[in-house]
Amino acid sequence: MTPAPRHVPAARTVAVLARREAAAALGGFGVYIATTVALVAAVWLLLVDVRALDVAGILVPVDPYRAPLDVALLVLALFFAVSAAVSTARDRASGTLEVLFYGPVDETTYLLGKLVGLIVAYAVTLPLVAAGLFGVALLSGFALPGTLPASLVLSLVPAGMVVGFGILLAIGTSRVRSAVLVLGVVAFVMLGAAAANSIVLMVPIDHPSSPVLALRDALAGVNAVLHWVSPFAYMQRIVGEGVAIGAWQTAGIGVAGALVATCVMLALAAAWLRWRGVQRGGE
Amino acid sequence: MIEIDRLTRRFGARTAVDGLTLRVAPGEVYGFLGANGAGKTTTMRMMLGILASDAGTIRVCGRLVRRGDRDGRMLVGAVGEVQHFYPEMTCQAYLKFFADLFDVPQPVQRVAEVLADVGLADRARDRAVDLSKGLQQKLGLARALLHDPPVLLLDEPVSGLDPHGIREVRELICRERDKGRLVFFSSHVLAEVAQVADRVGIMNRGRLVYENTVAGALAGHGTLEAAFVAVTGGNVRQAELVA
Repeated sequence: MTPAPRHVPAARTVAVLARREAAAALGGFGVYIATTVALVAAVWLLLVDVRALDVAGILVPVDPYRAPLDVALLVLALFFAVSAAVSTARDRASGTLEVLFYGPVDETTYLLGKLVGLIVAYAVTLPLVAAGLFGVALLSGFALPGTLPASLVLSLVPAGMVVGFGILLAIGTSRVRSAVLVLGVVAFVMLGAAAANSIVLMVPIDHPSSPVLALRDALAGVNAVLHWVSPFAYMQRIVGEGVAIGAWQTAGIGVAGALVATCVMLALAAAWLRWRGVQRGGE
Repeated sequence: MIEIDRLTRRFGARTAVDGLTLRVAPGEVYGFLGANGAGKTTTMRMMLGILASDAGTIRVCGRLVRRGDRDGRMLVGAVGEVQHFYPEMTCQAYLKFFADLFDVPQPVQRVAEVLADVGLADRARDRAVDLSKGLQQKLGLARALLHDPPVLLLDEPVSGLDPHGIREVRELICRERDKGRLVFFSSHVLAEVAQVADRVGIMNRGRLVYENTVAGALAGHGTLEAAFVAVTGGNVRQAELVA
């Protein structure tokens, strides 16, 4: 036995933790159910669009996969946000978090391992999504857009941000149920505000003093903030408003913003974890 | 070697560990005793570098323990009072995961060795969460031994074990001591401590109030339990009290 400690590179620790995280995520049914739901949602949206086109008598849709792909990736991102929150909260609740820290693990390597593992799991689902959309293209006759591979690959960045968001929210909770509840409420507010904004914009305005106008302004203000804060907004900005329509600058800004936001969230999560401690229930 | 010098930790207004100073030599088994809430687990968490101290220092094998010091943890194998496992993992997979984490050379072979050492070779393919508490305790010990650390920190290693389990853990501690490993363990099972430890220290309300060899404690009080009750009840010869 030698008293000089062996050095374990941080990258190795992250890789080992990430491998376990990815294996745990891909070993359950949840990820495959989420992928199926994402594809079903995408096909349903495509059918809605086709029906609308049929009613309107328009023959050529400009980009039939834009909204379906947005929704499919959003469903997957939501699933991985929940996975990140559940996995992080479960580590603390079950006591495995403290046991990990008996080894060469610190806050940064632990969080990076979790993030990388779940991004890898997300990446594994992307070929399934692509295959599903390819099947839809064959059946519907609508050709897949050439930007699809780029959309899928670049979606890894906002997906990482969503995972980081789930981890950050779960660091503060001691129970799995609380983590899911907190994430659910926050995601509902973020996605709900965007949806409400879209709906209100479609409401006709009868006169200049209509209360709908004030509501529009309020929701527009909220969405302007969420546009830069919500991880779900980044997914839409990079894929739907960026790559899908060839707006590469928008996509690039979105990618840079998402990367910075992910780093900030991980730094906050590490500081919070350090402050709370790793034992069950926190200090 | 463990060297703790004037270690202090407070939680709000409560002082969990108050100016603790002690030394433990390599190859020594040190029984760390105290009532619930006396500060034993807090001390051990600080020794592991997962909890920061408010004052004082800890050195393990000469290396200053700092919170978050990943390399420092390579010197210590730790087992908590309750074992926690990933539900999907077998005993073998669990140990392989930690062997990879500790970057143990030839991890598969090492996992087989430690499983055999703790008598779990025939349970390698069973899920860790399905084992009895005693066997889970052994699996925790196997994990702590994986990277061959010079120091073992065991928090209540025989808590909840049946007599067979207690004897097996005792034998394992003695075996590791004979290999030159320093074993620092806390326990409420005083008869067990008397059989295994070379020295004991008794904590009371965050302070180390008594320290002696086991032989010395037995000579002075008859049993460790009598020593413990006398010390923590305030009825002890002044000369035996730790300053």
